[in-house]
Amino acid sequence: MLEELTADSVYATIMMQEPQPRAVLLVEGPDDDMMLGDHLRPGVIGIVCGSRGVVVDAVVIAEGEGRQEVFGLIDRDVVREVSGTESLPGGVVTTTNYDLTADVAAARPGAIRMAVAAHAYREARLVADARGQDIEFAIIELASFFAGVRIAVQRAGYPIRLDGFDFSRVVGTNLETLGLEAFAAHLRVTKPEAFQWSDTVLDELRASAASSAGVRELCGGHDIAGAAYGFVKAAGGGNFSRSAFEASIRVHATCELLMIIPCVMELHRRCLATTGVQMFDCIDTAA
Amino acid sequence: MTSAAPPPVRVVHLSATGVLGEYDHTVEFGEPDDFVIVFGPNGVGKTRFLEIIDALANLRADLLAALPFTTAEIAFSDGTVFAVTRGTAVVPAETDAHLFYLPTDSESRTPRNRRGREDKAEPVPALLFVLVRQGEVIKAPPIPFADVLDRDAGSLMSRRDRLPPQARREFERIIQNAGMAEARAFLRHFDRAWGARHALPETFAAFSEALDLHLIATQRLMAMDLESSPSNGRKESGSPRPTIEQYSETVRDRLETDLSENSRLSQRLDSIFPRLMLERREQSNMSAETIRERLGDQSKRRARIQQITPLGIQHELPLPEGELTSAQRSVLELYAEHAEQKLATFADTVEKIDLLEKIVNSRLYGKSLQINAEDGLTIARVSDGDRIPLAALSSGEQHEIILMFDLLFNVKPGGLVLIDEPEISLHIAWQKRFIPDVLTIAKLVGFQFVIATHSPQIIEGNWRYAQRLGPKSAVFDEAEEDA
Repeated sequence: MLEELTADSVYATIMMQEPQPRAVLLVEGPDDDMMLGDHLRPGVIGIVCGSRGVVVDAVVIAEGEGRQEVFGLIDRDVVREVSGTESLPGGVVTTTNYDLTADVAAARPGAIRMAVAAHAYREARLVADARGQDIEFAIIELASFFAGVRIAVQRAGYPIRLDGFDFSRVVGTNLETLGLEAFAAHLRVTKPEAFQWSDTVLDELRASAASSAGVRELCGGHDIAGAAYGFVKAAGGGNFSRSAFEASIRVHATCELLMIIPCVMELHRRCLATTGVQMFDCIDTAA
Repeated sequence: MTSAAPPPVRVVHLSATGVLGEYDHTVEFGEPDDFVIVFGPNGVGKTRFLEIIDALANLRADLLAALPFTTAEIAFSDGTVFAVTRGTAVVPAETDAHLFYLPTDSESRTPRNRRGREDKAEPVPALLFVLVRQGEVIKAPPIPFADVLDRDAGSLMSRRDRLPPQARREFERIIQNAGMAEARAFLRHFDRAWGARHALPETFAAFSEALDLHLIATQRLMAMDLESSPSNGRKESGSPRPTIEQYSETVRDRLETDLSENSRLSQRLDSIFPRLMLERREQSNMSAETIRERLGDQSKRRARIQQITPLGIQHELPLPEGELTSAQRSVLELYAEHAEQKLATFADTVEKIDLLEKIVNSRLYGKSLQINAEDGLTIARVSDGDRIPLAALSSGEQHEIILMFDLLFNVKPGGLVLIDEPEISLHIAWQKRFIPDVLTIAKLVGFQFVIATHSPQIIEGNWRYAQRLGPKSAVFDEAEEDA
């Protein structure tokens, strides 16, 4: 369903709203809507667009039609690292971290630790003890390493599939993070006839991973959940749901928390300045 | 009798006021756009608007008398305006007396009595048609609502109560002396006479005839079978049947007509071929290569027609090897000219069939539509070739086929089509393809169209063509919500 949405159909949806909204917030996915949708003020509507490109293009159409009340929130992703700068329409704001789930996790230190403990307390302790570090740091370390791989793969345009990566394959028996070769061995090459692993490629990925290690804003919510799953499974855990883990992080998206997330505040500020309408109903709480 | 008016150049404006008693709707066709999308909240009368315009264009006075609106208007690019108002008018009592006078012993037709009736005449609700053309304003005589509302509706007694006093007395006499059957016959006769009295002037009928306006309503899967209906085409009898089955017959009939026309033309051309040949002698303007190309092209088209309808002739005309003599070229040139005329009898139908199959088959999943003269529309499963009954198709599949068929085969060039909620039962991927498909068909057939929709996926990239119907003050009221 979401993949059928286009910028045109999103704009048509806005145009057909009854009554006409005072402001519109376009987001990429249902996860964003889950965190922000309940906090939109009456008269402001949220629309899930399915992808980053649809959000941006729909805002471009709206602005071209003189509708300044349409705003978009998109994931930061690793666009800047891959493509350099990115030109966006005035109504579009990017998350500070990779995505909004990561923003929430960053704004509430300990949220990742609490979420892992809630779903796999024993395994979380095992990992923390074995590595001698907070499980939250361990997860960020692994996820950010993977983010470096992602950046290198996207930058070079290698035919490698990154989503759904099984992080348990890169966690050793002592719950240590394995080297890049382990990552390479378990990444799926989508066009084997057009790509072969080589030392040059491995060095490229290794360098990128090293430079991104520990850089929290490069870690997406899915990668954080994947890393958590990898550690829990490697520690002997069985039933660990990545989606339930992510949901446990998103429950922290309260009014108080949203109002300290920069992208949310920026949306609120731009909406107020352009339309005179407060986008979120958290403003009173924040005040 | 007035001759039929030339078809209006192009519709530029549709409007209706007082729709549902409170809304004024206007649709403007931008130059050079040939379609408009209308949308708006539920309850503002989008469907009613389309029905009103349809009833006006097709002079359905019975519907106009029942529909909730005040005025309606269709304007054309040449300045012509066709309009109707639901107003009031004094219907001349003289005419009334003339038509409905049923002699009784106690009544007379003295001038004095007639004057008395005129004095009592009061305005009655009536339809007022106006046609403005080339600066001339033509007004039709008012049509009282009571005369055109469905007079067959209701019980025998309620229909009796609508009769004028003299006619009612006559009805009572008949029902007492001759029985119910005679009484019903009287009512039918009376209603026909009453309706005929208010027939619009020929100018209006001719104008309506030239203006082909076609409404595709939301209820399109079932339609009344009009095979046994009266010649006026009113949906007064027959039984409902799946539209798709009726369309299957329509295409069969159309191919049969084409085949008959082809046979007639073939006989005529064959009969004059020797004479024309003798007149031509060895005259030829075409090179051997051109003749071979032309015959090859005709052969391909003929083969396609043979797939659809049996022509009963050989596909290929074997040509001699090498260079053609002047005499051979002359014969073949005339043969090719005649063949072109014969093939032209199927050209329109085959082109439409090809487009229908192309559009529908690009949508259907695991099924294939084929059309031929013997079976009409057929749907077969791709995996095993088994035929699927038309009425067993999903409602979405039926909607898609019916909509496309309707546009291809039931709309005339230069017409205007009003399509109400085409999104019904269609997957959003099909909805997104709807307008591009209609535009392809409109280019082939040559019509304008209006789509009323609630679906952003129908609008998709065509939001510049979308016009909102309904009150303009529908902006979210923050204060009200907060309260």
